[in-house]
Amino acid sequence: MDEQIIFTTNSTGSITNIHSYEQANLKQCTVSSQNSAVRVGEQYLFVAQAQKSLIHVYNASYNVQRESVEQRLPLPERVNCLEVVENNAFIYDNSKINNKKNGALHNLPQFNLPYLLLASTESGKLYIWELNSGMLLNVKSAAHYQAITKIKSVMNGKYIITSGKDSRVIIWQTSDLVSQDEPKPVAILHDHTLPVTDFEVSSIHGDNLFTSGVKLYTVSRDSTLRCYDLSTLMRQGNNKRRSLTNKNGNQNDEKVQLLSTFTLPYPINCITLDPAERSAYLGTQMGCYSVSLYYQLNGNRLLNLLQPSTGASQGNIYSLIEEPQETVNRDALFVKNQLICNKILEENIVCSKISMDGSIILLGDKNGRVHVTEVFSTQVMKTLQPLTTSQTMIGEVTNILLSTYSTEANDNLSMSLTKNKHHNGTLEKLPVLQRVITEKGQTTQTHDVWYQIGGLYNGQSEFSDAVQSPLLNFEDYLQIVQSEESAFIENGGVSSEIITTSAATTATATSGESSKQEEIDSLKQKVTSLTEAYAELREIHEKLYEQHQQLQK
Amino acid sequence: MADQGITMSSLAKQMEIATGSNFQKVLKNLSSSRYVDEKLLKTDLGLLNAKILKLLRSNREYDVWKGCHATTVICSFNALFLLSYGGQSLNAIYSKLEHMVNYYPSTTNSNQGRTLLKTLVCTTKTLMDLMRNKPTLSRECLVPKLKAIIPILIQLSTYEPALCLPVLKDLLFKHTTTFKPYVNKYRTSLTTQIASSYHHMPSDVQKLLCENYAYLHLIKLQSQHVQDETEAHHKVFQDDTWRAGIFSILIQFKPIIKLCSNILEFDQEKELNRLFECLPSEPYKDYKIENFLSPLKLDMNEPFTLWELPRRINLLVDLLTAFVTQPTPFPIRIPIGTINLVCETLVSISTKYMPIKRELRRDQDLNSIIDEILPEIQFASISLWRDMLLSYGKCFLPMSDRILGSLEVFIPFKPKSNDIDLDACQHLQDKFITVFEVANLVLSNVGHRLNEVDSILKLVDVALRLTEDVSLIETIFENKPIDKKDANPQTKNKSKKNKDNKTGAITDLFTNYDQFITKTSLHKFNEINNFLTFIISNWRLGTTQQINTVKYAIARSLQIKEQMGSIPISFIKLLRVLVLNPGNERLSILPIAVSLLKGSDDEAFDLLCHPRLPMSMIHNVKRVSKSIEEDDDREDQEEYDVDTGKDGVETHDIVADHANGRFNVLKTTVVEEATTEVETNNDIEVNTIENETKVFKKRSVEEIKDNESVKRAKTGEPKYTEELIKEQETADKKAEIELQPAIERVTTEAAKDATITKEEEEDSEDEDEFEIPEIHLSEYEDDEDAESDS
Repeated sequence: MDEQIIFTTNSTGSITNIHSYEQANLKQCTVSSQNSAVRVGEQYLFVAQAQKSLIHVYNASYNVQRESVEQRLPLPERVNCLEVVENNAFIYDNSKINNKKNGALHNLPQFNLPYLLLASTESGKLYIWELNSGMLLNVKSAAHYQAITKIKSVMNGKYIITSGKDSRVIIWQTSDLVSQDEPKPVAILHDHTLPVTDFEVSSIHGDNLFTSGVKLYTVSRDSTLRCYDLSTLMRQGNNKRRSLTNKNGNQNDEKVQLLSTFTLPYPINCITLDPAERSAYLGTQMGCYSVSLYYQLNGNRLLNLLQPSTGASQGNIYSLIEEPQETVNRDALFVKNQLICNKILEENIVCSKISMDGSIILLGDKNGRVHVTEVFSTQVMKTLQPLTTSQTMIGEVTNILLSTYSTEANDNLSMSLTKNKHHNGTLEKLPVLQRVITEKGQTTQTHDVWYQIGGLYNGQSEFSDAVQSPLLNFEDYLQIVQSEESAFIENGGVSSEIITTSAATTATATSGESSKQEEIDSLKQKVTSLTEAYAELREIHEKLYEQHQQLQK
Repeated sequence: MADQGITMSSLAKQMEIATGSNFQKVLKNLSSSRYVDEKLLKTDLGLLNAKILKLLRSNREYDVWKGCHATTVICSFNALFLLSYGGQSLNAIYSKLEHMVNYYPSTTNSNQGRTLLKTLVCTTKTLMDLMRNKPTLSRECLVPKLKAIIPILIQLSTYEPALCLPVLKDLLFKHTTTFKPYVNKYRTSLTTQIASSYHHMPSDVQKLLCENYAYLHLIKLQSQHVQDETEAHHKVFQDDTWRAGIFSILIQFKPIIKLCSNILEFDQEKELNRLFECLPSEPYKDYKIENFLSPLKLDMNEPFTLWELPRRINLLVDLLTAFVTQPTPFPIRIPIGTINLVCETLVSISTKYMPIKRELRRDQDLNSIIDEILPEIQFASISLWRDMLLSYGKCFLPMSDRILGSLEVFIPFKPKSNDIDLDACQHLQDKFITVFEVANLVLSNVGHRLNEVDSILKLVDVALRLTEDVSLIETIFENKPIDKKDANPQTKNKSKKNKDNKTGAITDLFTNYDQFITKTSLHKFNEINNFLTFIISNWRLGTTQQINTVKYAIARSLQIKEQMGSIPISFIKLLRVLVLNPGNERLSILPIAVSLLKGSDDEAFDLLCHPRLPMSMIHNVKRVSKSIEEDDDREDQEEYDVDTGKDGVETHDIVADHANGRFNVLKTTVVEEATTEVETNNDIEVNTIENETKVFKKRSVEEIKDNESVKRAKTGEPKYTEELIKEQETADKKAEIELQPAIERVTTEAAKDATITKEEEEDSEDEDEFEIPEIHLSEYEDDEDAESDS
C-alpha cells in the first residue's frame, strides 16, 4: 500500500508518493486556481490549464507513470475548478447486488468514467458535461456572482456544493442540474462576509440526507470557520408541493442549520478534515492550526463543539487562540468562548490534504512546497518540491490530490494490462467535450455513451450446476464429483464389478498374508457353494427337460 | 519422511481402482502441493500422466469420467503437470468428446452417457481456462486444439445448448481471432435456434442464446462502405460491428409497434405518435446483418395469434439487453437515448389513454386477449429499463422524471376513473416487483426534491395491496348472494353430481375456507419492504400511506413472528425506518417496534432506546472519584457550573442547551447563578448579569437577538457604566434606532480588536476575561446586522 500524491503549483505538476521517493513531473502543466485538478476514474488526471481554454489529460495510473499529456480537451472558455460526479452503477455495488435476480456482480472495467464533469469559469458559470458522451448537459450562468472556488459532489453524487468568491455557498441537486434548463439551488448559505476559500463535507454519510449527520465546514477570508448540519436541509420540504410554495414565498426557505462558528485572527485559506472528523485543520498565512472538534476541558471532560444549540439560530460562536506558552485554565477560557488550537506548521499555507489514517497532513505553501507533516508530533517528515530548475517560476501550490492504492493489486493489474491486447498501456481516448448545450427532452437524438461493462466477478459462475474450477472451492467440487458418480453407481453392471475389485484390493492393501489366506478361504467357500447351487439347478433343469421331452412324445 | 505423504506411484495405482469416497480422497491428495516438485517430474508425474491417459482412453465410461476429474484436479493444482502434460490430456479428452458428439444419439441414451458428456465439456473448459494467458502453453497446445474444439462444440450446442453455450461464449470473448473462421457456422446455428425454438427453452438458456448472439458481433463484419474510396478517411471505430448489431435489433421495434396500431387508436394519443415517428428505422452504416426472424402472422379473426406479439417483443428486448449489458473487451457506444425512446414507446401502449379500435370491440375473446398482452408489452420495456439502470446507473439521470412518469402508466386503472384497479394489480403482482425495483433504482440517484411524486404515491398504494394474502375462492363468495337468488349454479352442481360421480365434493370450499388462501411469499415481502423502506427514508408520505404502511409493517411482523418465531430482516429494516422517519405524524412507533423485537438483538433499536452518543454539551470521559459525580447528568452539570462558572450569562447558555428547553430547570439555575455572582463579583458584573437574566426571562426570542447585539456592543466598554445603562434603557424602547450608533462603535472597535485579543491572552484577570469574548461576538453579530440592513 502506498499513497500517491499529485500536486500542482502555478507552473508545475508532480506525481510522487508519501512513503517512497519516486517523483515524476507532468509536462506542460500550468495551473492558476485552486481545486483545478481532479482524478477521473482510476487512470486519468484532468488539469484545467491557466490562460488556455484547455483541460490536459494525464495518465495517473498507479503502476505506469507517464509524464506527457495524453489528450487535450478543448473547452468553450477558460475554467477554474473541476469536479467529477461518480457513476457508481449497481452492478459494481457489492451491497446492493444481493441475489441472482438483481444481476451478477461485476468487476470494474478498464474504461470506467465518472458520470459528470463539472467546471466553473472566472465569471461564476457552471458547465456540466456528461463524460461518457462528451455532451454538454447544461451551463448554469451566474451560478455565483464571482468566481467559484470549489465544487464538490456529496452524498454519492446526489448533491453538488459550490463555494464562491461572492462569499456564498450553494447546494444543488444533481438531477436538477442535468434535467432542468434553469436549475434552482436547494439552498444558499450566505453567512460569510468575504470570499469563501474552501469547504469540506463529512466523508461518511447515511443512506439519505434525512437521517445522516453529514456536516459541511466552510472557511472564508473573513477568518471564520462555519459548520452546518446538512441533514436539516430536508426538514423544510421534500416534495413538489412544498418546493412550489417555497418558490412563491421565500425562496430560501430551505435553510441549513448553522451549528458553530469559529473565528481565527487571520483569513483562512484552506481546510482539511480528519477522516473521522475528530479535528479540522485550517491553513492560514501564519501557519496551519488544528481545531479539535471534541474539545478537552480541564480534567477528563470532553466537549462536542458541533452540538446543535437549541436557542440561537446562529449556533455557538467560538474564537480560536493559539496555545500559549504557560499552562492555562481551559475551563476559564471556554467560559469566554475561547478555544485553544495547536499550530502544526508555521508557513503560508494555501492548500492541504490529510492521509488516509489521519496522521499525516500535506500542507502546500505559497512557495510551491508541500510539507509532509506528522499531525501529532507536528514534525515535518519531508518537504516535496517540484523537480524544476527555475525556482522563481514555481509559484504557489494549487492542488494536492491524495489517493491510496494497494501496490500488491497493481502488480496483477499491470500484468493483465500488458496481456490485454486492447490496452497496450495506453489510455482510451475520451470523448470530446461539446460546446453546444444538448437540448433536453429531444427524442430524436441517439445519446450515444461510450461505455464498457466489466467482467464478472471471480467467484460467480453464470450457470449454477456447472462444474466450477476446483481452485475456487475444492469442497464444492468434490460434492459435484460425488453427485455425478451416483449416475454411474445406479447402473448395477458397472458398480458391482468395480466394487468387488476395490473390495479385494483394499483388503490386500490393509492386511498381510493372513488376510489373504482368509479371503482365499472365503472365496473358495463361495465357489463351492455356487457350484453346489449350480449342480442343483442343473439337476432341476434336467428333470424338467426330461419331462418336457416326455410330454412332446 | 512423514511429510512426504503417499508416494505418487501408489496414489496413481489407487486412482485407477478407487471408487466413491476413496476416489475423492485420491483427488484430495492430488491437489496437494507436495507433488509440485521438479524432481518428481520425469518419473512420478510421468507415471501419473500415463495412468490418467489410460483412464481417458479406456472404453468404460466410468474410467473416462474418473480420468476427467483427475485431470481437472491435477492440472488446477499442479502447475508442473499442467505445463508438461496438459496438452496431452486435452488431446485425449477432446478425442473422447468428439467421439461422443459424433455418435450423439447412441452415446447419450443412458444416464451415464449424459453425465460423461457434461463432465467432458466441463473438463475441456477448465483445461482451456487454465492454459489461457500462459503464452507458450497457449500457443503450443491450446490454440491449435481450439480449431478442433470450437466446431465440435458448435455442433453439440444444437443438442445441448445449456452445456455448450457458456463455453462458446467464453471462447468468443477470449479467443475472438481464433473463433473467426467458425463465426458464420455458429451464427446459422444460433439464429435457427432463436428463430425456431426460442420460446421452448428455459429462461437461462434463452439468456445464453441472446448473449452468444451478441458476442458474435465482437468479430468484425465486412462493411460495404470500406470499398468506397471517398469515405476511406472516415475513422472506423472498434465497436462498429457491435453497434451495427444493436441497430439491427433496434430497427425491428418500429414495425412491431406498428402492428399494435392495428389494435389501438394510435391517433388519439399525440405523444405516442411523436415517439413512434422517432423510432429508428435505418440500419447503422451499410452493415448487412440478416434479419433472421420470420414475419409475424397475426389474424384478428384468430385472437390467440395475438400472443405472438408480446413474445416477439420479449425476444427483441432480450436480444437488446444482451447487447447492452454484457462485458466487452473495449468500450462501446450505446445509444441510450434511442433505447430510452423504445422503452417509452412500449410502455405507452396501453388502453389508458387510447381506446381499442372500434371494429374490434365486439369480440370478447379478442378484447380479453388484448387486455392481457398489453401489460406484457409494457412490462418488456420496464425490464429493459431495469437492466439498463443496473448497468448504466446515473447515465439515466436526465430521464428520471420520464421513467417515473412512465411507471405510472403501467398501473392499471379502473375503467373511466382515476382509481387504481387493485385487483388487476394483484394479477400483475410479479411484474410489479420489477416495477418497484426500477423505481428504487431511479430514486436512489435523485435527491430529495422530486417532480414525480404522484406515481410514487400510487406505487406505495399498490405495494401495500400486494402484501395482502389472496384467496383463490374469493370470487365464489362474492357472487354467492347472486347465486342464491338464481339458485341455478347450485342446482346445476347437484344435478351434475347425481349424473356424474367423477366431480369431487365441493363442500371443502365452504368448510375449510382457509385452505384456499395463497400466502404471500417471504421473497415478495422482502421486495416490497425494500421498496417501502427506500421510499419512507427519502420522502415524506401522505398521512394515509404512512399510516397504512405502519399498520402493515406492525401487523405483518407480528403475524410472521407468531409463525416463525423471528422477524425477517427486511421487516426490521422497515420498522427502523418508520421509527426514524415518522413523516407528518407526531406519533412514534418506537415502543411498538421494540415490543415486537423484544428479546432479539438489534443494534439500531438498542441505540435508540439507550442513546450513547454525546447528547449533552459536556460529558465525562472517565468517572472521577467524587461522590457528586455519581449523581445524574444534570446535577453533574450544575455542579460544574457552580465550580467554574464565573460568568452567569455563559453558563446559562450551557444549562439552557443541556436542559433542552425544560423551563423549570432553567429557571432555578438562573436564580442560583445570580446569587453566586453577587457574592463573587463586583457591581458592574452584577448589573450585566441582572440585565442579562431579565432579558432572558422577559423577552421573546426575536427581541433577545436584536437587543443582545446592542448590549454586547456596550459591555465592551465597562468604564462607561452609566452610559451603558442609559443606552440599555433606550435600546429596550427603540432597538432599531439604536442599532446605528452601535454599529459605528463596532467599526471603531474592530480596529482595536486584534490588540485586545493579544492583551487578553496575557491578562489573566477575571474581569477582562468575560468582556473580551463579548466584543468578538458583538462585533461579529453587528457586522452582520449592518450587512443585512444595508
